[in-house]
Amino acid sequence: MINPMGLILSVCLFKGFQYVKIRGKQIPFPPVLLAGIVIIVILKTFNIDFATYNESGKYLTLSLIPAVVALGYPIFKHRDLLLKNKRVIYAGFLFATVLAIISTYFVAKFAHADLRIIVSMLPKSVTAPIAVEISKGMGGVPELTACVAVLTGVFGAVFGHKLLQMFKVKHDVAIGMAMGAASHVIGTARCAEKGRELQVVMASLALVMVGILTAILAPIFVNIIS
Amino acid sequence: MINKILNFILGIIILFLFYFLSVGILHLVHIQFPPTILGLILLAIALITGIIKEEWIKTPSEWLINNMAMFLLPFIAGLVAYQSMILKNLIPILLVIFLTTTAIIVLTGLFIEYGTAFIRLRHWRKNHHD
Repeated sequence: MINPMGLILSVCLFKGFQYVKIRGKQIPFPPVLLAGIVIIVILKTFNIDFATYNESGKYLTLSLIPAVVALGYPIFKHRDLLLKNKRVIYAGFLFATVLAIISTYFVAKFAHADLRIIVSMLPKSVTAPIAVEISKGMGGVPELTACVAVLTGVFGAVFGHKLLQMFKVKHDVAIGMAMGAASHVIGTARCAEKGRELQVVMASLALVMVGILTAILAPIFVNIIS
Repeated sequence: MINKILNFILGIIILFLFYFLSVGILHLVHIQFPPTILGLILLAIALITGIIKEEWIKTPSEWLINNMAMFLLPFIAGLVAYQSMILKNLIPILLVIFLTTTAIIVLTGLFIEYGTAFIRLRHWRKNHHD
């Protein structure tokens, strides 16, 4: 008999924070971050082993497989947008991906991070489920990747629109792509809160396309630097 | 009701099939690539070519995407095992998040803003020359 504690705790906390967020409006932190922190605190206070948590918690990890595959659906749904303004959009996806990998590497290197930490952070602008897969393949620490990706998403979601306004970026296509490329699902959700449909669509396309490109380019980059 | 549940389960099975198909393909061609990401590409292609019907996977896909963040909780809970490694690298980690995210948002935004403006300008000029 497996211990259902991990699964029950995770689902209840996540759904609880999601409910609070829907009703209580302006909380800049996504439910996954709040639920994650509470779980860590509970495991620490009651001295519960991660293995005990993961006996049933691992079924959540398993659900990531169909969830990532399901991201093919938004590509299909918005395929017509991928055919409009093709050159700029594709160049934009590529630009954001390369910029993310190179800037992450140089800032981390400059700040004297360990190589394994750097590798774990390379896919951080990609939505965490995809980032985790990329990180595993490159020998990174998937747990760290997931957490850094979530924090990146939060940072971008909170400051993104203000930054773009400061630099006079006004087009919904540009805003959406920047938000999706830099802070993936969490940035996309912020665009949805602003009620800009075109931003949301562009952001969700950007997050999947940047995910695919990062999966191709990040391992090549790691091969070059090591 | 039962129909809806069966439809949902069928959708999940289709998504898993795309995963296993990708694992098989990657195994055959000996390429290191995340199978779930190949799976999502193949799913998009199958939907566009009509091999897979949209309604077969629509509901489960939307449900999975909406709850995707929840499936990450074991990774966040698992962070505890890497506590010392993270504390040692905390400043570089935070610096990377703040600096690179700012750079990516601003530069990508400007890239697209001026890229599309440039193309519109060229179109306009072309049309006014004729």
